[in-house]
Amino acid sequence: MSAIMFTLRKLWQNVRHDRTSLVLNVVVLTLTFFTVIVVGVGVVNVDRLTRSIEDQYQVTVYLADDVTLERVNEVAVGLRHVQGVREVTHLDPESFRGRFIEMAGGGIDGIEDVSTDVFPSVLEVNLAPDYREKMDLGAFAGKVSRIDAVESVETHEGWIQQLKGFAGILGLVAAVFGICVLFCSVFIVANTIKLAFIKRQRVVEVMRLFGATRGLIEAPVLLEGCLQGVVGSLAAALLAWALITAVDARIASILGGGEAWSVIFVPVSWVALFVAVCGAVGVIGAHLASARALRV
Amino acid sequence: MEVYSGDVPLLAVKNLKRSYPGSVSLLTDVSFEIWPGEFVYITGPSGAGKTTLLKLLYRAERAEGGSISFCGKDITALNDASIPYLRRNVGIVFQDFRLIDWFTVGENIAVPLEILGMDGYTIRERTRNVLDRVGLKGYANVMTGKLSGGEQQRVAMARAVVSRPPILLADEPTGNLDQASASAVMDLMESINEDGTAVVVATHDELLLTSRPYRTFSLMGGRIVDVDYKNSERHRKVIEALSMEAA
Repeated sequence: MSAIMFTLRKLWQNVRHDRTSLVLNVVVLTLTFFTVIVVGVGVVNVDRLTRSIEDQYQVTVYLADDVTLERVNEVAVGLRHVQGVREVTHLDPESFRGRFIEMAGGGIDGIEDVSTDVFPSVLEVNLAPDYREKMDLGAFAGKVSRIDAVESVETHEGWIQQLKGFAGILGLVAAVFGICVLFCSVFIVANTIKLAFIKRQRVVEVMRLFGATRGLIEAPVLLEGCLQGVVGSLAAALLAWALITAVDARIASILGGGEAWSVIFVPVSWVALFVAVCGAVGVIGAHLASARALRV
Repeated sequence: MEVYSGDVPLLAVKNLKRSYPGSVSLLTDVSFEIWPGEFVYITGPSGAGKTTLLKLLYRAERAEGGSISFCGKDITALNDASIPYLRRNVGIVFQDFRLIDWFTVGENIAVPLEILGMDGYTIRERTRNVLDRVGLKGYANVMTGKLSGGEQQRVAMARAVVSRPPILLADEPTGNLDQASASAVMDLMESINEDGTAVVVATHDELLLTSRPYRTFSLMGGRIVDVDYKNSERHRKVIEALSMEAA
């Protein structure tokens, strides 16, 4: 019988003897890993939303009241030639009012009666994402604001930076949380296997008496720890996928769908990596327990 | 580990010493030899060091002085990683059987064969044969916990000899058994011995020593004080049979 067959046979005997503990441990690990996946999916979606907002990011150039349409076009053409500017759109007061009403959801009483003179004429400058990171937006805004036709420039940079900062902190917190949970999982597995070792003391004793090497005794235990990690993480991934799918459907039913507000699950390759990491966590936990038990 | 070559004792113990911290020396100067096919008792009062001596023979304990040679090799010098390979050549039976309750009889017996890396067919065949041998034919799938004490000890003996080791060490094998079961177990020991396996039985059962007399080492005060060569005629016959087999 090869060492692999021996390991599988002993694993089966161990599992058969101690089914309840094994199931309980897998359930605990599933719930633990589930929290990691849900937090991970949350971070992915916040990051996605941030990118989506950044992608639509634009500098608003407020034009002077008396500027002519010809001068507006000249300024727009000039801006289009600045490196990093993807698109420049002119909104006259009438269009601006229409945009304002549209953004407000059309629910402002009496807005139709407000004169268009109240609304500004603006140029919306859309920046290419690649350049946005590199551009000195303050210097860009300063240059543009010195143009005679321009009254003021709003870069919204502070708000974007706050959003990016929030996403960064969230990612960091999630990473620390994930590492802590995986670290705790090592001890969950280690303690379960340690308890199993106490229950299976006779098996270890008999195997030692009849010449089993440390590797032969340890291999089924390591495999058991690995399986606990893999099964727990796969079950957690399935549960999380079901939850995210349900949440996405609920959001779609409330907001009427749309790419920006959909909630996505993490890619399959990430799940595969997570399952592999959890398998390794199980092996490390089992090794910690067996090293202690076999030292005696 | 090489198996017996014929011209050296199977086990040669010389000036063996073992003590426990805070207590008097248990074994101070123990020397003896066991040859292939011998049936030997190690006897002495409780606490004389019988179990300790057996543990030293299968390296569950380390000697503080002296030497133990198994098939001509000094096992006191073995490092921890080599001990399992020594134990694959030694069958061991205990008073409390040390069977695994949640294994079937067959699974218990298969443990030494699995450790040796044998294939499933050989394991099944050998298990079936040894069960026939110990009078438990058809018990392979019975849970060990359901057996009587005598039956459990027979399973333990089957497990000890299924890998055909050259020596069987038995620590008070009849200590937990009634008279009839003890007699059946001793019959089995003799039968195993007749096949050429050296048998070493640690016991303080006077009735056993007198009813089935064999070479006896008596432990007292840390030394072997008496070596009794009763029934040496029977041993000579076993040796002759072994020699004929080898030829």
